[in-house]
Amino acid sequence: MKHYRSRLKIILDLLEAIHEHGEKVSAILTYANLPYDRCMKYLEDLLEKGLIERAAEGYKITERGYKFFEELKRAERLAKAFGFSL
Amino acid sequence: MAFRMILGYDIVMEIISSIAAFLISYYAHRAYAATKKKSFLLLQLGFISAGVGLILDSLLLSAAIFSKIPRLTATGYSAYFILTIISYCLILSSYAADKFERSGAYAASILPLIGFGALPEGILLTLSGAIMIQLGVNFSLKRSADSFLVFLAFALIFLGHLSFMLQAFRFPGLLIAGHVFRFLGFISFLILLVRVVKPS
Repeated sequence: MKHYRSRLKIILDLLEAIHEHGEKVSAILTYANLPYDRCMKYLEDLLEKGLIERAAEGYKITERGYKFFEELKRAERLAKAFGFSL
Repeated sequence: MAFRMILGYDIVMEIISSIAAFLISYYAHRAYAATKKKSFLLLQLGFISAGVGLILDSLLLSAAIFSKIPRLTATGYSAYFILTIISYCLILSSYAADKFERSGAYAASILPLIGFGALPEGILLTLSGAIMIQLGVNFSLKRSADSFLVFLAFALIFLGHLSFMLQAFRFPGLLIAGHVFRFLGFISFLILLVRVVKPS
C-alpha cells in the first residue's frame, strides 16, 4: 500500500532536512524527497511563517522554527505511540 | 450493590494516576496546538476527563472518611464512572478522527448515581478492551517502545477493570489488585511521557 505524507509530515521532513543536511537546496530536495516546485512552495510557506530564513547557500531554521520543529517532533512521537498519523 | 471498601492507599494511587492523566492531556494539548489535528484534541479531552474522574473519586472518598458520610463514596464513584466512560469514548473517537483526517468516517454516553459494582466495571472493561485492541494492533505494526508503553498502560487499566468487576462478584481480594493494575497503567503513561518529552 502506498503511504501519502500529510502536509505536517512534509513540513517536519523539510525542517529535518534543513537541520540535518545543511542549507543547500539540493540537499534539502534529496532528503525531503520532494519535486523542486513543491519543495519551493513549502519553503516559501515556511519563510512567510518565519520558521526558516534565507542563508548564504539556501535556508536555515529560525529560533521560532526550532521551537516549532521540537513541538512537531514531540507530537509525532506521541502520535506514533498512540497509533495516529501525523 | 457491592460494598466498596476504602483503603487509603487507593486514594493516593488515584491522585498519582490523575496527575499522569493530566500530564498526558497537557502534551496532547501541545501536540494539538502545533498540528491542529482533532485526534490530539480528543485525546487531550479524553485524558482530562479520566484525570478529573480519578481526582473527584479520590477527593470524595477522602471527604467520606473525614465527614463520615458514606453516600459520598457512591457520588465519587458515579463521577469516576461517568467521566471514565466519557474518557474512553473520547479516546476511541480520536482514532475515528484520525482515520477521518487520513482518508477523508466518525464514532461516539449514560447517568444518575451509579454504585461501584460488576455492571459499571463491565462497561468500562469493554471500552478499555476496545482501546487496548486498537493499541495492540498499533504495537504489532510499529514494534516501538513507545507504542508498547501505551498498549501496556491500557492492558493494565483493562486488567484493573477486570479485577474490579470480578471482586464485585466474589473475589474481594482482587480489589487491591485492581487498584495496583490501574495505578501501574498510569505509571506506564508517565514513563511514556518521559520518553516523549526528552529531547531527541
